[in-house]
Amino acid sequence: MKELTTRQAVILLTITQISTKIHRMPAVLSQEFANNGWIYLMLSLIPDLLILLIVLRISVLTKGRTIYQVLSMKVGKPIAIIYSLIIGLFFLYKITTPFKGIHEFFVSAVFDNLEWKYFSVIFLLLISFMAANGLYRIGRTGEVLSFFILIGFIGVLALAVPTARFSNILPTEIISFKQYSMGGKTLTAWLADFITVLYFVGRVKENKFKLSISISFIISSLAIIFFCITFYSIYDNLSTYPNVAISAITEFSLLSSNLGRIDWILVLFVMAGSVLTTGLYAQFSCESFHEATKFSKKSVAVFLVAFLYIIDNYIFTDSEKFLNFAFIYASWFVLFVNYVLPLMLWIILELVKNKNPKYAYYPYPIRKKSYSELKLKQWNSLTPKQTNKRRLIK
Amino acid sequence: MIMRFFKKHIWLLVAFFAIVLFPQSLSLQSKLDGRIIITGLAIDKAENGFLVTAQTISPSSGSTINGGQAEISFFSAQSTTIHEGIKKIAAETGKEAGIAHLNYIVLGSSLFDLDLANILDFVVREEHTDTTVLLLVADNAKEEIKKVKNLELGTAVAMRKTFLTKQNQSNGLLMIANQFISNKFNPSCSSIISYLEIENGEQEQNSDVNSKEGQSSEQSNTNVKKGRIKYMSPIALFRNGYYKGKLQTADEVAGFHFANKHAKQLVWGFENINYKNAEGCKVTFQSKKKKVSMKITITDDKPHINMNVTLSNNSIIEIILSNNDTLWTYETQKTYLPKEVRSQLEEQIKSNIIKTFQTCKNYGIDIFNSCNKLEQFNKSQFDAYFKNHNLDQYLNDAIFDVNVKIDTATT
Repeated sequence: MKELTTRQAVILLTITQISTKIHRMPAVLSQEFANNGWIYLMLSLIPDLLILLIVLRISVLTKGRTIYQVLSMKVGKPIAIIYSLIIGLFFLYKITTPFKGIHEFFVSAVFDNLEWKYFSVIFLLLISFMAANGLYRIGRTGEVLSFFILIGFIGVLALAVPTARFSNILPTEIISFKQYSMGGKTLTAWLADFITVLYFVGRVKENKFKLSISISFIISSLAIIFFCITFYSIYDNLSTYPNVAISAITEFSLLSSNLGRIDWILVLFVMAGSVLTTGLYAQFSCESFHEATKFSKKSVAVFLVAFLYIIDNYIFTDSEKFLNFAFIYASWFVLFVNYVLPLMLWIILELVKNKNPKYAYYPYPIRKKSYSELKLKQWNSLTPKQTNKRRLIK
Repeated sequence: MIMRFFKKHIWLLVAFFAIVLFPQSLSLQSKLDGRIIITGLAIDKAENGFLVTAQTISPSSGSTINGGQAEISFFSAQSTTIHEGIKKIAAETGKEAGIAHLNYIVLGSSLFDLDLANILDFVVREEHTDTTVLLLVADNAKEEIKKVKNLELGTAVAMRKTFLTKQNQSNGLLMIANQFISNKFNPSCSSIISYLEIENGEQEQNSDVNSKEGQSSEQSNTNVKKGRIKYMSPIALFRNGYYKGKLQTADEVAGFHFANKHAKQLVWGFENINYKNAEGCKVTFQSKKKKVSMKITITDDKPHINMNVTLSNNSIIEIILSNNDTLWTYETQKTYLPKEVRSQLEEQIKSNIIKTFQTCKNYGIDIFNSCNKLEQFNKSQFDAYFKNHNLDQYLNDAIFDVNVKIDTATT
């Protein structure tokens, strides 16, 4: 398996941070905190950063292996399988957020009469392709698209900022702990994208991983906070209405134009990030289920996409149903994965860091075999260090 | 080599055409000649509901925004709700009605006993309606919107752009639906909408009028259009979405435009300006940059509203003398703006702004939204004051002061 470069990891983290929060989140946040939603985001940065530091510590403890591999070797395979299933389920849930964003954008904003049931097939084919293929390919796609996504996001903000009355976010009010925790429960579908970093552990080259990831996380979080401030400044008391914030935010900038919504070119650039994020989450989910069940990635991807199609078109036909589900059923699970699981992993890995592997993990097969005879999954399970050793031996 | 590439990667071509063609074939868009585009709406009160009149454009091949073959038509329907009225119009014309290009809404005075912010709910709720649609009021919305056909086509379909330009030049007000509805929920609960008054000029026209019960259709092929939107229309005042009164006199309306921070330019004629050697002159004063700021404090249990209006990049572009007076050579320069003239201009602007504030105060309207500013920038004083007072007391107690500063002239 080809590893992600640090740059690709930074780009993917930034894209997931931004593109999941530009659709419905500002409006939902406004329902809870009115125009003080941005304060909630600022406050949530603190625990998020702490957990991110823990995740980065985990990346040091795993010494270049994935968490699944380390848990298999030092704690036991059942625990590793449970971990992979949890992460697989978590990202399966997370896919719905950007995918519903894409759904709402095309159905509500772009077309007035779109048969989403058929139109969504295009995206689902793309997602299944991304899910079944390696992380490195998504990383490369991210590198190519990052320029357009960045231009789109900056362009949208450049159009929106002159029309914003920033005094509308005043007066600021203190958010109580009760409000904060309720907000955390409501917004589980969007927050804590640092779990992406947990998945990156063992899949990214270590060089400057910690610093650049932390910086990109902070910068992208601040960019989203600024996006929300601009949104609230423009929509003021009506911030709860727009379903797709990224297209609504530029609506006021073209008052003097008779050219229609030319700003949507920029919005479409940013939407490419949502498609990429959906594909990335699908890949995470697919890889995790593959690790846990050992089914082939392609068959997992097919099931996953079929599941997503049913979810999107028959179960969560509109965002409200998804948000209700997220609030009532999924919030505790997501809060557990976001904040408890990294802590548990950290403690476990600190405890077992000096422990020998449960079973001998040979750097090369006992029977002399050529490279071509090695099964692919056997090759994949070797760590980078071990594969290098094999090459030297040969 | 190219053929070999395509033979090997035929899926690329299939994917490309699928992506390009699939959305179009699935979106089930109506054909162009089966659509009418609603660019303006007039809403009046009717028995058990509303009388909705739509200004529509029927696109045809070769249609352009500046003329071409596009035609303005008007259709009316009575309905329980406004959106139902739009759908009724579409059904009766047998065409698909698109409201994504809705540019302005004229609200009739018959609706003034209702909460207009509530009536306009569909604008923010319906996804395909532009929430930045311009709001206007008229005594009879249906009749007024029909006068729009006397305007140039470009102006008629882009009324919002026209009012944006008017506002920028200090002779019009651009109030968009989003802002109007939002204002209702602010502490000052006050909002304003400009009247639409179209002065009819002479015109050559070939009208074709069809009408039947509950619905009327009028089409006109006008060659020369001489209708004009009135300069400095009156401004209707609203509190909590309900009509309270209007700014009608020239001084009151002017006072609002002087204090409107969105009006960046000012070209205004002033009377009774005295120069050293000439008294009672009429001058046209131009300012290309205007800055308005406001500070509100509560002192001695009374709100003190201090407004600062600063005008810069100024010049005098016209002086009409009276009594056969003459000016010195240096006084004829457009950049000559002596202190005594500046102070007279400042005084006139100030008195107009104060007059506007007083009129609005009598109607219970916080026209400059000072109450919002107090809440935004001085929350503790706001909370302390409004613990024992209400908005009417706030306006009655308010001590309003304006400081107008006209900078020296520049080229």
